[in-house]
Amino acid sequence: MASRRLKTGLRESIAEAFSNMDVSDSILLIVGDNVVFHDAILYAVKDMLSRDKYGIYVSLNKPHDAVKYALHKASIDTKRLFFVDCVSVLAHKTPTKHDSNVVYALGPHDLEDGASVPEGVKKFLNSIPGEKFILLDALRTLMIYNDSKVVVNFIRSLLSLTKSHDVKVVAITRHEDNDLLKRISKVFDEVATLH
Amino acid sequence: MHSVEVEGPPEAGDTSRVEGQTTKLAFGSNLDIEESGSRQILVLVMPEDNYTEHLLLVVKEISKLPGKICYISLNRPYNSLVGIMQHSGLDLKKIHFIDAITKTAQLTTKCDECEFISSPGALTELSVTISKLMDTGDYKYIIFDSLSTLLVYESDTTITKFVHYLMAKVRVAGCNAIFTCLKQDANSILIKDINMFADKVIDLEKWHLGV
Repeated sequence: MASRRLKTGLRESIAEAFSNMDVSDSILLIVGDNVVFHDAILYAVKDMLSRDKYGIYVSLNKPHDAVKYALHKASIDTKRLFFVDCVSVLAHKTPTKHDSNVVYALGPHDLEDGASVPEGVKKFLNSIPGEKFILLDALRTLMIYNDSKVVVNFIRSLLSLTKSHDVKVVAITRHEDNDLLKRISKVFDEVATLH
Repeated sequence: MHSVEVEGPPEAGDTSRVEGQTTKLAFGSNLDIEESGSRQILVLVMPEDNYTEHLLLVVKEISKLPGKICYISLNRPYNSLVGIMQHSGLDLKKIHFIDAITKTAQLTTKCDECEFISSPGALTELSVTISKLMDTGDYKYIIFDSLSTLLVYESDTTITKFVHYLMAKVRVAGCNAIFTCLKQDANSILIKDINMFADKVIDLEKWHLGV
């Protein structure tokens, strides 16, 4: 495993971490400093969108409108983003208007084959043409709701689609997830740690 | 697999994630509790010393903004809180309380300004009561005092799921919220997990509060 140590700001660090994404299919971004966690997500989305790809954002921490607001605030255009919202239904929100860019999953716990999270992702994968990326914000949240085996299977199933669906997978997580990291980091093409 | 190790100071966000300091908390502008059209959920990391004084200042600042406040207390009984707040000149007409302490020690009588919960560990009862209040649409701000107290009552996973639900509920209801936690707990895995669901983590020690 090659290792690079960089001394730059957060934006540059993420750009550097993603520098091989033209050839790699997947990256696990481990954020060591909890304070920059939200900014790391924004920069990751911005970087991937700048590569002229469509994005499927699996929002596990906040309802998609809160994520969208944060992206707009950071001057990130969300026109090419599609959301699998895994939080709104948890709070018993009934969607009032139809938005073809959003799928409401039952929650971060609904991860098994055929469940609402993977089905939501597949719906967009099958309907969006061209190059795409999937962003998971964060693996840690999946671990709170699921057994690590279920999470690993879910990630493996996403990674199995990269070639057939022209999609890159970006997963963000926190540094504390040691058990998960040990199990899961091997399946990603790239692993970048931001201290 | 290729691995990249990144070192060095982050470009965005120091511990306080706010720029500069102020002699007074000004939520509308500095802490972004209510930015234009947005809803914000903040986690305030409070120093153990003068916790109550710091919290009172926060409540005072929020009470200056338009909209009612729902104050959830897992630390002090309603009567004690009301006394302290009145003494500090707070306008209590804008504040409705959820008290999870009084019932642990005594019987309660019906009160228009306060809902009594059997204990801070009664998470279902707590979430039902909070949901009912939020669903009225009367409340614009939720103050949750405090995450640190929850740590004593339940397992980490249960609390994390509860707070994840609560923060989602706050957003869906269109409210703003402040969750407090003690400095000593700020580095616990639980609080770090909860920070992922919030918008900002603010260390109040970075602020001059005049306490």
